[in-house]
Amino acid sequence: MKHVLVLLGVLAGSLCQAQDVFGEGKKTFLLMPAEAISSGIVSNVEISASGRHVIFQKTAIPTIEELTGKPVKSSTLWYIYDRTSKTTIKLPVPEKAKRVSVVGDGSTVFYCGYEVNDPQGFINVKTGATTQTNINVQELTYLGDKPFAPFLVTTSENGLVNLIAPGRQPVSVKLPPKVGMYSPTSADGNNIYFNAFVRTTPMRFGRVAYSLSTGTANFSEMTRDEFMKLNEQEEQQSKFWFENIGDLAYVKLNEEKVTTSPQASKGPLEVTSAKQSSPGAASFIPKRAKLALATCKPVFSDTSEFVVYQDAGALLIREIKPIDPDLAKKVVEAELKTKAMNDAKQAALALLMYGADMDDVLPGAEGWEDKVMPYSLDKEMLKKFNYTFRGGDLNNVESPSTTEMGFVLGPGGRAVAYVDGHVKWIPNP
Amino acid sequence: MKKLILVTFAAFIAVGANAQDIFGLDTKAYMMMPAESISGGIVANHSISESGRWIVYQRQIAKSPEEVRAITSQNKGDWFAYDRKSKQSIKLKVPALTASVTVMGDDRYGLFMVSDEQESNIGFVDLTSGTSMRLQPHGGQVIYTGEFPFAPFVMVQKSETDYLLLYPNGKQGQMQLSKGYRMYFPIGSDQASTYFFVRNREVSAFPSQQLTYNNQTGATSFKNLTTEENNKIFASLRPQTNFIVRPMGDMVYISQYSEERPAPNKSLIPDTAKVGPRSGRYDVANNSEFVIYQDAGALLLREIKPVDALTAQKVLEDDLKKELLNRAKQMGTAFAIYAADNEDTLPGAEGWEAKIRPYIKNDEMMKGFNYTFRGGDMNVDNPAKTEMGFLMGPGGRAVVYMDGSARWIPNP
Repeated sequence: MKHVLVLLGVLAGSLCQAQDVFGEGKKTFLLMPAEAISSGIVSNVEISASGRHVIFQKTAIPTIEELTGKPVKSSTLWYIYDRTSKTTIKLPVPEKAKRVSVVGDGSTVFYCGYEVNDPQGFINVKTGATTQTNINVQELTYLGDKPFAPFLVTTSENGLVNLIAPGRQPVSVKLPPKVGMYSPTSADGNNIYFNAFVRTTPMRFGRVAYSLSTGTANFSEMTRDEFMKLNEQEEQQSKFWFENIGDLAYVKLNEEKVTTSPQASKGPLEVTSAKQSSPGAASFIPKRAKLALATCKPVFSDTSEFVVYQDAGALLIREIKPIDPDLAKKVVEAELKTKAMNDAKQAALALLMYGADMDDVLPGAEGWEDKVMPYSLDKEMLKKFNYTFRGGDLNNVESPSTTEMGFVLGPGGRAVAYVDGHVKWIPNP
Repeated sequence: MKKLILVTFAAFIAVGANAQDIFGLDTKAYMMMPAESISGGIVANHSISESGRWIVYQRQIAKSPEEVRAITSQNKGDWFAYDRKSKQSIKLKVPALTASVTVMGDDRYGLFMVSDEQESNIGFVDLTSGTSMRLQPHGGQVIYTGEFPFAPFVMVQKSETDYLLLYPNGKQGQMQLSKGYRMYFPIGSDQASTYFFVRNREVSAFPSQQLTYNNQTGATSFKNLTTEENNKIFASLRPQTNFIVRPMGDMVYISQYSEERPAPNKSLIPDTAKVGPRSGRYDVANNSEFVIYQDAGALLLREIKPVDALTAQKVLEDDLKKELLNRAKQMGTAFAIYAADNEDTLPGAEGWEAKIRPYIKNDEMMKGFNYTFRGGDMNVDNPAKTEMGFLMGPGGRAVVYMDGSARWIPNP
């Protein structure tokens, strides 16, 4: 059977997978290929506020005896992955420390426990040098991971706030009476701003501006609405979220975030532009992209730049990049087309292999799928194939290269398989 | 009521064996170990050496959507060799347009083949250092790439009768066959000789013959093979792995290979286990020690270890118990929240399902739950000892009490 040999090569598609494209309307994204961060059994994965570092704990891959015997003690070893250099460094964090956080730009890490007596200190990530600290960890209100505020903050009952930067003397700031402080939210050249509240009933809200030049803290009060609105604008939260369907986890746009974000509610502009984009483009692009198994525990960066997830314990990272909707549409179309071509080719191959076993006679239209099933083992694929050849002896076909065997529907056309085994894309008229 | 809810929301944390990674038969079970990452990026053309020590692959990195899109099947990037002993990948300094790298039987060198227009299209690469050397033009066709441990040389057919044996250390051998003979592949060796499978097409295709090649002198001699010997040689060419890895839907599964259809498992041990999502190629080592697969372009490896069937059964039982306890606890929470909304009163036995339904995630959770509390005021005398309900499990019951705690009670 010479037909069969022709068919054995499968069409190679573009490696950019359409299943990685997702989005809604004009907001389309591509889940980039995965980078591996770590092997082993990973736990406590956290991403720094700047999105540059990923901190995690890791247990080396246990032996089979350990795995099937008593539960393995969860790891106390900490690691930090730098997204810029793509390297992972082990951190010399003592066993009793339960919290580890990046300070500012990531050159320093702070560790501490929950109790005052637990070990605590700063680690210089480059040199590994550790400086012990003496901070009341129960008064810690901020761990220093925002790049514009690279210091820890402790707040005591008496309104005294300490700003503790690595390698420097702590700075004490007196807050106005009854004012309490949350974490820092933003900064400009002169001030670092903190969310703040006044201990009254009902509670009042506002912000504290810490002046870098004078070292003083000024409180300005806001209405509750102003406070919430400002908070929402400044609070960084990933645009993306995940959804588990069956065995798999999918990445999608965080709908809540999309609908309530100030940009989305700005006016009719957004709505009209969505309507104007051709309905075809929108319908091609799936709302979700496949990430990994449902057990992958995804963590999204607040900067909406990437997702970190696990596959059988190993830690992987995938960047999420915005992609032009037209390009996204092209990618999805090309993929669907390639898939249709591949499916047509596979189905034709199965039919021809059946023919080779049956003296070159192809099955009739009735029940052909069941007859061909042993040659393909993929019923889903056979179902997509519209078998148009009426059956019969292949040797009686006068022109095998122009006689249609069947087709698979694709975007804007059909992938047609011919009796000689070749497949051609025929656009819809 | 508040505190009860808080207590019950803490889930059980298991760091031990992952029951979903166990598969096999009642008599013989295996466990897939946690994954080791071999490489990120977009990996193409990965292959495992005969010994299982090396994984050779080609990788490309894309930084932007446009770059991802630009990557096609023609341009697949740099070549690497991952050493399972040192758990490290090193870059192979092979020419651009290298189309394949095969690990040789000596487990140290690779044969690369280049698809450029130069006269010499093959060479050797040292997998431990990455250095490579392109060979002089040989003017023939490579008919054996040297992957068998007993025959670590490349074989080139120069003419109908002349063959060249190329060793990575520079040694060369010549072999001459009479006209009409067709060379297939090496089938074994000892210190003095290497044996090949050949057929004489002029006489008859059968019986096949064994060619003995003297490694020192290059002298050859022939011996006819019996049908049994012939079949044995062909059987040995098939992959010898114990496992079958195959995709189904969105997932890749692994199961034990068996000639006959195995009897269905009576114990909890499942026939198959999920390897990972189906997003690229996957492969199992011929020595059955591990499986490699792709997740979004990245290449991962999972060791497969045999587990005593009784141990496997126990791990699965423990896991099921944990799950049942968790579910019982969640049911307890659902009832408690219902009571909080209904003046601390729990529903009676009749129609409790409909009343609790709004408080649970899905109906699956209720499945098999036996609600044994007769209903009424939740504030009983001894909540930690008063049963609310239970789920049946292997050899016992997962019982949830009125205080929200759950305990495993073995059958008497």
